[in-house]
Amino acid sequence: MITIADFEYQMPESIAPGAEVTIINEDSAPHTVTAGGDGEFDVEVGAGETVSFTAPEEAGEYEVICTYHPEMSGTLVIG
Amino acid sequence: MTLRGTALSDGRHSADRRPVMLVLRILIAVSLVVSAVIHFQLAAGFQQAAPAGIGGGNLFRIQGAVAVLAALYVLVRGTQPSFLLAAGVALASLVAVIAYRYIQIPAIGPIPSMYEPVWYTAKTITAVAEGLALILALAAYTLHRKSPR
Repeated sequence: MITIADFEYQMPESIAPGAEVTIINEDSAPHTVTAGGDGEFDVEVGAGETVSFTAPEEAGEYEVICTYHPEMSGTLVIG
Repeated sequence: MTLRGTALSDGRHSADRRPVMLVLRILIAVSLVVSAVIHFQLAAGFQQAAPAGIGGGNLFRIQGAVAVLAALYVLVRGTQPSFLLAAGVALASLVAVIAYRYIQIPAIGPIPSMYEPVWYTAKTITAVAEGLALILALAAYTLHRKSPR
């Protein structure tokens, strides 16, 4: 599960490849969980909403950014 | 006789406008306070999102404080300068929210880049409240000017 609060990502230690990942956005503003590299995932989470997406099948570290708020970043570990 | 009649007539018009002015003052204040509350609520997040310079969150807090002061000024005094101040605060806030939605404005001195290319409920409510405050403050200013003193 990924939680977003006060414009910060709170990432789990790691996620299994291909797992269903839940994203909870606790902010009053929408955010995205977007892979910074080859665009493996790009998920929008509205203010106060919860969505889920399928994690990449390939293990590794994925840089995550919010396309709405460029200062927001994190690392999603798949493996 | 004519002068007395005119004075009575003007006095009646002035009295007729009093409830309208009171409603306008309350609506202006409410609109400004709505904008202020949302800015205060979003401040912590925007300090993280735009930390450069004095920080987006601190700018939001300044906007909120100024909007509350303008609202109090309108409520307590209801004078032309108070309506002008309210209109100025509302206009500045409205221009900022629209500009940073559509234009990638870089950091300007202590003001960080706060480009955020998306509309959402809180932001929309703020923009509507600021637009409303602007229109109502200008209307109150115009009505107040026309009132005999």
